[in-house]
Amino acid sequence: MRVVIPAAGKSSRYNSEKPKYLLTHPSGLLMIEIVLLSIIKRVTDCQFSIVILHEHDLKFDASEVLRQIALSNNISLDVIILKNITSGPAETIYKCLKQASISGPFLIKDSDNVIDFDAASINLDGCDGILLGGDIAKHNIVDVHQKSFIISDTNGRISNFVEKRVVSNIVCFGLYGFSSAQFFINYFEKVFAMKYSGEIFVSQVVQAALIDDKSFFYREALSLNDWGIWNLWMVERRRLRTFFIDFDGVLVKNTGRYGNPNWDSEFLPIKKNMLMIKKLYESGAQIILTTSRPSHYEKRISSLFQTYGIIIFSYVFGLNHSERVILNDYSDSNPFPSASALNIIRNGDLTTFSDTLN
Amino acid sequence: MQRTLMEFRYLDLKHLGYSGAKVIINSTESKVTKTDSGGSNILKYQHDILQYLYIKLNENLRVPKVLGFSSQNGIDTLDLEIVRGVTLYHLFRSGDISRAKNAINTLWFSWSDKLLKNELISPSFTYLDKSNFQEKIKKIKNVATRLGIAQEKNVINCFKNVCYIKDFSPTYCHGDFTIENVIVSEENLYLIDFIPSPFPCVEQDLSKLIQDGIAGWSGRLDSEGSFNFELFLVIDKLVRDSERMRIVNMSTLQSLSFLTMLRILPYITNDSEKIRWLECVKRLRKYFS
Repeated sequence: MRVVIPAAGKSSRYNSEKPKYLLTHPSGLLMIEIVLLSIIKRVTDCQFSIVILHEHDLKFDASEVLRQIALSNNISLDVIILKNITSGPAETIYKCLKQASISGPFLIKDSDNVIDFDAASINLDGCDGILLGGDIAKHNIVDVHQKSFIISDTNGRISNFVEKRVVSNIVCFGLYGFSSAQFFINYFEKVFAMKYSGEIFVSQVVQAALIDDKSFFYREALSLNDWGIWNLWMVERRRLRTFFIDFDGVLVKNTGRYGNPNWDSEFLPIKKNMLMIKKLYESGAQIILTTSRPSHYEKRISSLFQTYGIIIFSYVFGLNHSERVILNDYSDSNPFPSASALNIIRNGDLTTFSDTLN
Repeated sequence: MQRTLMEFRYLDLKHLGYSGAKVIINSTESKVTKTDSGGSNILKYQHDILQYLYIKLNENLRVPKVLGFSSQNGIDTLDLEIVRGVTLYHLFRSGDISRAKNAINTLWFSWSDKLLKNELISPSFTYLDKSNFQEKIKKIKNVATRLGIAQEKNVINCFKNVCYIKDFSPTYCHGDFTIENVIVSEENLYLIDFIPSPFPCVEQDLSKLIQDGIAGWSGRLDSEGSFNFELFLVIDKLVRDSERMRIVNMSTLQSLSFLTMLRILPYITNDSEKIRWLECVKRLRKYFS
């Protein structure tokens, strides 16, 4: 299945010079790479066409980056380069279809979110198109008024698809299927001829087809991870922070090598603090345990965390009993502050820092 | 499966004061009372036409029942039954495009059919005197000059088009056939707020729908903004179907559409409205090119 990904926008809702699809996710993969990998998991025989701006290719070597991603992940991918910014995503797709001479059925996928869906959802048999979305009550959707809304009947047949106006409780998640490229081209040209200024949205191309009684169906997606605006990307980055956490005096009552109790005594967990860390872990944070203890304590410490349902990403044993300092670079993709620290009094209450930690 | 977030208002009358008449809703007596200074005779005209059409229109296209009319001390008063429903504008605004599309198709094709078959015309109705039409156009030209846009090429084109309004087949027409002058109830469509027109023909009424589609006239005071792309698409289809079915003469429709656009000019009060109007005129010109 051909999948067109329009990525030729200005990323105007991002505080970054770099186009958003090239930003590095905390996992180390680029945003676009995560999107591509999420699709090939669910769609068989994907042939991607990614549409980018010439300006981004010059400044950020975008086409080469995309080729390297394709190579390292064994993905079939074409890069379509547009010289100038278009009137909107619909025109970007139109130009891609024309420039790459694409025919037959195809999907359009936004470059800035990850959707989970059943493979059957994108079946285009017997209809002119499909739209994937979800109920605003079931998903954490930010900036609702910026979304496009679907109105459908009980069989899922769509009667309207409206941009940036809350007319139903079903939001489109940015995955669209069209029965043929020519179908999209025809309706885009129709809308283009009628609309004399402003951005042309995919929703308007679908609306034009709906007015002609073409059949589009709503399919429910299972989940959405949306990075459409800078704040959401920041939330994602924050969710996936790496915490270097000292063990004694932070997570268990402090003991020393000698005296009673000592490192060999039974752990006395500081429950509130353990639960706080559990919450961070469950939301995606990496927990790296730092301690002056020698490495033979790993098994005991690991068992303690298991009782709380926490898996430690890594242990650093044998550290100096001294100040710990983290040095990290900051940039557009990992903005300032890229390192921060909390000093808590020995055996203190971490929950008093919950605003900083959450 | 899904609910629409926008709740319909059970009784949805237009913003007060659009047509100059004062409107009071008396829900205990289930009536709407319109009052006007009487100088324009608009309520007398509406009284006559509604009484006439109340008998003539008895299928799914209707008009509200007239409950009374009086003219005292220079004040005209027209009492009408309350029609319960939403305006066609609000139906579009709600996003329920299939219901709105069905409503507007039923409305237009059954209304234009009646007009073309001359089922509705009554010799007792008087239309605006065309002799003062040129005078009105002159006044609009003065407004354009005052606004500093008289020499804009799209404005000149507008006035030029108006000169061609001559070949039309007189029938009857609503006169202000906008989607906010149609109330959609559970069962029927109701036409309200008729006004006399100097060019009583089907094209006149379709030109008002084009005004809604291109300039977003209905709902212009709506805080959410009025331009509605799907409305534009639906009306465009209506125009194309009407041309194909030979319901309208496209040249007359074009001229009347420009006239309709010009008639908005005297309502312009600030620069942003002026800029928007010029944009709509440009859009209209391209639409007919």
